[in-house]
Amino acid sequence: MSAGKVIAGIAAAVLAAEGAWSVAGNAQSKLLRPPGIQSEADFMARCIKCGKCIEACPYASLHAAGPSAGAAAGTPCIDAREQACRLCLDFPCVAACPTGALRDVEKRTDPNAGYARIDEEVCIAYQGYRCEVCYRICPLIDQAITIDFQAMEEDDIHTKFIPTIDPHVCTGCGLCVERCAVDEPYVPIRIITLAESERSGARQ
Amino acid sequence: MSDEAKKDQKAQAGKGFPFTVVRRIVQVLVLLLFLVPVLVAGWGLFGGMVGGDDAIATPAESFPFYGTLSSSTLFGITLLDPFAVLQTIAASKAFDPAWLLGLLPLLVLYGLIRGRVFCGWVCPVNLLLELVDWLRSKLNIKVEEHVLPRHVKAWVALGVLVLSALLSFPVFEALSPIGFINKGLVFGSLAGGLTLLAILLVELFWGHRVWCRAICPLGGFYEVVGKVGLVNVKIDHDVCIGCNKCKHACLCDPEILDAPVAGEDVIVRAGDCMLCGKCIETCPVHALSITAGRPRA
Repeated sequence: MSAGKVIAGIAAAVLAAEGAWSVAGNAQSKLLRPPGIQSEADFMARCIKCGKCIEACPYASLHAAGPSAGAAAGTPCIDAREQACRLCLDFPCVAACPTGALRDVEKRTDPNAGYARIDEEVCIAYQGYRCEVCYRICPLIDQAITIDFQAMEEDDIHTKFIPTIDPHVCTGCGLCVERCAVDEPYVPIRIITLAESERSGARQ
Repeated sequence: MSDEAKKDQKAQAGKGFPFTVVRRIVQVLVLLLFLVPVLVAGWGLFGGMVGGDDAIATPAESFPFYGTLSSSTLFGITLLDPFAVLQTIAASKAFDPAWLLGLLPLLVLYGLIRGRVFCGWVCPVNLLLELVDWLRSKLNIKVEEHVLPRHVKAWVALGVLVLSALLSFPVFEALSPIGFINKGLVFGSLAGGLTLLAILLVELFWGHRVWCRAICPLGGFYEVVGKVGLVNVKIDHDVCIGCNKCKHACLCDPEILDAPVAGEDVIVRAGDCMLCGKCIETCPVHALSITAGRPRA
């Protein structure tokens, strides 16, 4: 066998591994998407990774998914803790999408990228502290997040101000995650992305 | 005038249009064009930009052109890579008339000129592989000239569409080495990096231009589009001396010049021709030129 053929074989193996990784990585992807995603499967079928949504975002919130995302590498996603979606009123990312991977968004309540969930063990509101950072920053304040006043146990005077998320209203913009005041031992609020909730069943 | 005199006269008419120089300038300008919007907006290359609390200037708004080779916007008009659209239709099992509108400008442009003009004048991978050609000759590495038939790439293109339908994502868009260069520079996408690595290995050590000639599905798509096209390489049979230098220079595949050189056709008819002009520049007797229209054999 010639050295050239060996090289060709290695190259073919690299390509095959890349292809297999694309399919495998795609199945595990749970990326947070920009506004306008209809379902992860629909998004993946339409997105051609042109990056125009990334170039249109006025807050530079979108970036290309890394190689670990398999076939989703190069698709737009959001790291909510670093820079969340601001839910622009005119949705320039959706307007930029040429294939309708992002579509059908008119109002700020329309996007459906996921919903926020609070970890009661770590969120300081559950310990009786006044925080409400997530509530006040929420673009859909009093709709997606409301404050539930709960009496403190063994205390007749004080009240807990519990931020409460309506998963059917929350758009998954992630601004609450970006601004959450707690990060030890971990950030107690995170986005259950559309891909995740689709995989685990309907929103509870 | 004798044949000899005719040849001399043609030779004295000068070297003609400097195809390779002009093509190199166009290739580099196209590569840079996509970088202008992100640079003008102050975002920098490789997608490192992270915003803050206030809205900032975006590449989309800072320049009359933005996007990548898959899709761009020029003065508000959406341009779509026709092969990407075909993959999207296959993957999504959906169709939107806006996609047709988006792919028409590029399909008509390349369809009217010659499909693989994209390969020869626009594609950054071709530019890189021409650099590999140069590097290989400098390093004196010998590789095989012809390892796969040129039509394989059209079948790869069909395979990509079938796979896109089966796997429900645009397969070549996920693995494209063209995307790796173009989108990597513009917004830091690393998709297709391994493909490019495999191609570089093959090009350096196995076969001359095997990717562009025989495998690239986008080239395969444009080969099919290139079956028509009004700009063609014409041969003057009275002048041709049959030296075959044009075949050795051809960036596509030597065999696409077989019929014209053998006197069986008046133009290079194969859909593979990317109008790189190498054959025209190389011909010692200036028997080759560019012609408009598609004269019959």
